[in-house]
Amino acid sequence: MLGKLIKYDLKAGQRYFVPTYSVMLVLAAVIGISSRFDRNAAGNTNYIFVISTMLFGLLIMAAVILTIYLLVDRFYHNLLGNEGYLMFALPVNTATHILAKIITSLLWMLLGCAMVLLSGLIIAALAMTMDNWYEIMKMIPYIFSRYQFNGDAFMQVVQVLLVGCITVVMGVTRIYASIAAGHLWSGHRILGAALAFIGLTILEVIVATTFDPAGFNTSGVLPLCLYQLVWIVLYGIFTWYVLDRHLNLD
Amino acid sequence: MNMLECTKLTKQYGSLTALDEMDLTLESGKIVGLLGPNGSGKTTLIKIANRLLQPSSGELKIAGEVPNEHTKAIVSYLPDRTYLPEWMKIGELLEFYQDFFEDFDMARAQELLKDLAIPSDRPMKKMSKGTKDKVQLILTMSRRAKVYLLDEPIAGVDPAARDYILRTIIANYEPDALVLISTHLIADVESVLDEAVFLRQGKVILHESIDSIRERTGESVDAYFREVFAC
Repeated sequence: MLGKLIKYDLKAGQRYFVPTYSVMLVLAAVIGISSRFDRNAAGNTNYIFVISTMLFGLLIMAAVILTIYLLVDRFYHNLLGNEGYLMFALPVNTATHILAKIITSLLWMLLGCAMVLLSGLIIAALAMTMDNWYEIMKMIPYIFSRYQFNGDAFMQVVQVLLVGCITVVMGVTRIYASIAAGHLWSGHRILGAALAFIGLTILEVIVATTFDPAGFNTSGVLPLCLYQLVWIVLYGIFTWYVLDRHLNLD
Repeated sequence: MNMLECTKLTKQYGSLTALDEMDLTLESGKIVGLLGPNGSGKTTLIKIANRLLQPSSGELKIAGEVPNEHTKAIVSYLPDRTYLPEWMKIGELLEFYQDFFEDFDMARAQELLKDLAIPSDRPMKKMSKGTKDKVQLILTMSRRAKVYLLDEPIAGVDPAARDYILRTIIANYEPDALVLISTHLIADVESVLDEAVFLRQGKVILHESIDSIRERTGESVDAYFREVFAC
């Protein structure tokens, strides 16, 4: 059932993300190609390059806002709006609903990162001349001789990805817990959710400064992940408690 | 077999009591009208049966279990509002129901949609309110469920649509299932009911077969309802 819920959540987001990221990749190609002309047209402003780069920057911001908007909207309207009458009538338990939303949000975030990375590669690939390619090819053996690409390097990449994912999930569950807290109000639920979000953010800061003045960032990856996991579990349990025991759809 | 059982079922919203120590037992193979004026607790009862609300005290059981994901697999629920995602096309909704409900009869749903000439590639948001209501009813009645909980299925629709809705319910429910229809429009549903449950202020004040009510009172259920709930 979890896979099916994720499938339909991804479908719901697909309507927005496919056009957004398609335009992003096209703009990346335009930037890459137009940057070549920029080098050749000495003294003349290359408007195509300037405008496409500006649009590209704006589009990245729009994609970030869209991702956050969708993860809030899908939780709020799909579970706690009129669609909740359908979703909570499915033979699925509450924990699975929440888990599906968290996984979908994480997948959207990862998709966004992948698309920005791919855009960068497209820009680089199209912007570079044969000379640039030649220079890079020459550098590769040097890079390999300088750095050991062994298990440690691989583990570092995995650690960065892990911390990134856990940080995203912590942010997502904080938002869900805030919406759940707002749901406990009989009216003005969005206001309740906004106040809960501010309250929880302040609480996180207080806890972090009280119990860990040095900051977990300095004590390594594992304590940081465990610290964040504790918050994720607490937020998850609270969200489950409200949705399972105090659900009251309008 | 007892399909729906309420024992001292109570639901309070703050100081307001929506259900007041309600005792009710409904058996399979019956079409039951849950009848009462607005605010008598009909929707609250149906929401608790779908686990959309938790009782304040007492309990409600479906086929011997408190509402959970197992009971949801045998309960086909029609809420009193538009609840299907607006962005989904009819074809996607059929696929959705088939994915989540093992008892969904795709052929039956397609046949009913074909009768209404609704194309499967049209999204919900492009449909009129009346068509959306019919699509929701078709999806609900295309499940071979053990319990159908229909909350105000004929409220706010024109008389021709009422006939269509009632015909669809009668022609498609599983004969061994319990069908619970909540409504305050008694005259329209009276002819299809086996039993009536009268609700007043969260309490069952009458649970009797339609034939028995007619025989005992010498009136139609609609006329008797008007008498009981006269203001």
